Amino acid sequence: MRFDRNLVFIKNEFLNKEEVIEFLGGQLVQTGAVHPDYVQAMHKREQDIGTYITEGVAIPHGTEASRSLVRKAAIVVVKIPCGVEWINGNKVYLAFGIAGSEEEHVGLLGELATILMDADQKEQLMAAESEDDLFTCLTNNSGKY
Amino acid sequence: MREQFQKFGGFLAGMVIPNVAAFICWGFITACFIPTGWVPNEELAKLVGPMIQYLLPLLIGFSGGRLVYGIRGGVMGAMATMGVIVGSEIPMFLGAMIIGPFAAWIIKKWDNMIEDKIPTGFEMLVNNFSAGILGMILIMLAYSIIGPIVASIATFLGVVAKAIAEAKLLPLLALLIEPGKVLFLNNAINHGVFSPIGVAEVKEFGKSIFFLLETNPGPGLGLLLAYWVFGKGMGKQSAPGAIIIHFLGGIHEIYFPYVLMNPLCIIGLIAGGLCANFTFLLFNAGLVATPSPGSIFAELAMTPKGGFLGVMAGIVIGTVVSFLVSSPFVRAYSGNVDDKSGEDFAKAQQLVKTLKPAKVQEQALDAARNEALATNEARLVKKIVFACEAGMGSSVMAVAVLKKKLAHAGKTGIEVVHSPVNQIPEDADIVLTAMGLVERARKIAAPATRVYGVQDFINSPVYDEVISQC
Repeated sequence: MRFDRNLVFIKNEFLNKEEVIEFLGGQLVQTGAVHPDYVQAMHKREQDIGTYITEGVAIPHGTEASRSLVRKAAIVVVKIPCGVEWINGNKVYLAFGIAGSEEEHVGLLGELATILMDADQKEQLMAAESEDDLFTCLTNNSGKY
Repeated sequence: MREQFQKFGGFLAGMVIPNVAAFICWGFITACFIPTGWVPNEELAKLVGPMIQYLLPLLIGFSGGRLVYGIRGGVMGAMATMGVIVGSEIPMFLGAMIIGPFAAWIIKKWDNMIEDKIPTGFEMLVNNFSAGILGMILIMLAYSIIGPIVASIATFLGVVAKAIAEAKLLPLLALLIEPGKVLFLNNAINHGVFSPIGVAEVKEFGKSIFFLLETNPGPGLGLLLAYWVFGKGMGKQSAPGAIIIHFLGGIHEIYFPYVLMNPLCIIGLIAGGLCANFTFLLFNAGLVATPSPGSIFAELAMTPKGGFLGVMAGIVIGTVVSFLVSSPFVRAYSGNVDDKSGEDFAKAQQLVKTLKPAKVQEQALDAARNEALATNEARLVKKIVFACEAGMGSSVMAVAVLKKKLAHAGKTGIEVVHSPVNQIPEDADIVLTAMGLVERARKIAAPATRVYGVQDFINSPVYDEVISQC
């Protein structure tokens, strides 16, 4: 599974994390990856446990119960240059909306994790100025396991 | 194997539990308004039939379909359930549980098949029409096969019951009665076997044990008590209400869903019935007529003078044995669906976390060091598990990170996997999880497993601590 250029965005128009999740969820629905009810499950997951995983990064996704609403695995990426307050005063600049089905998306998430682990690569991501740049960063660096 | 079992049980529960309120509602209406109810009301009693015939099976069929394929699956499930409902005269709980998920599975396969072949703009049209047409086909199929199936099972039960009764092996009848009840097939046994023999015996002896066999509220009470004590979530919370409807209202149907979602419980019911019947035989107990409904009050009302000891003994024995035998099965089933208590716990934990984030992380590290010191012969770490709510995000990434770090540190032969927090494997040496899930993980993991909370899944200092323990 690869990152999809059509699902990579740079947007600054979000006022809060709910709007970010609404956007990511909407994209997942539009691309046919999930049933519309999945978006609500994403909000619920955020409320229950939260998806902030490391400085500046969040990975909204649905609850365990909403697995059956996922038709195929997909990841939507949105970079938010101004950042959005997420939790405990921490801001998120990079959000990944995830629809997981079986083990399809595991490899891609693993690669994403190793990119974020590497300080240089993470900086590159954060510094990407255009959607094409961002996409290139993600796909070039993944595979450099 | 155990995991598959639990998954199946969870699936069955997922069909029944969301609808428990509807069952309880029906139970109360029936207990109140039927002619032999608490507050007979002819108009309101009209609700009883249609609700158990249509509403409850349709809810089950919809829920079953929804579990497999979301709302679309649910609608298919409800459609197909109509086929079995109309095709049989008895309420179709089991039928709905089978055909609901099946119908959803069919539409899921169909959707996958035609996925990329729909011309743009026609998706809604194709989706709705394909579901409608497939639904119609399924309904016709269900309708045509269900009738004969039910009829043959009912006839079979009647024949076997007669044979057992004539051989005077009355206690064994429990083996037929309890499953027969849950499948709504007991009427065949009642009308065909028990009533004629019962009436003849009453003529001769003034009472008959045959009126006690099916109407004994003991075994059902035992099962519901088991759910009240050992159950979890909705199953546990709804049990008291169900007990009132069953034992005091005499509407035994209320306990059927509790069996259907955890089929092994039938063993407890059979055991209770067997022992109760033995007791009735021992005391030569009998009733003068059929108690209807099967409430404790009706049972006592139909007891002949001097026969109270035998009847009560049988009811009590039935309750106790059913409770004891059902309890392990009720306990073993861990229905994760709608586990409200778990959710509230997680919410509370999250609240604590937002108030004192840094402090708690520090405490986690201190605890880690203390534990490591305490175990002098530090247990060999072979399996590290990341526990997550959904297993979709943070745990997947964390596993990748930890694997890489372990490789860098030259540590080999250590298994790193992720799992839902409710299914943490017993052989996990170390469990890592989100701060909000630490308490729950500690409860579920084996006692000797070390559990640590993680805040930053990519750069957590806990990782280095854990690696040093390997």
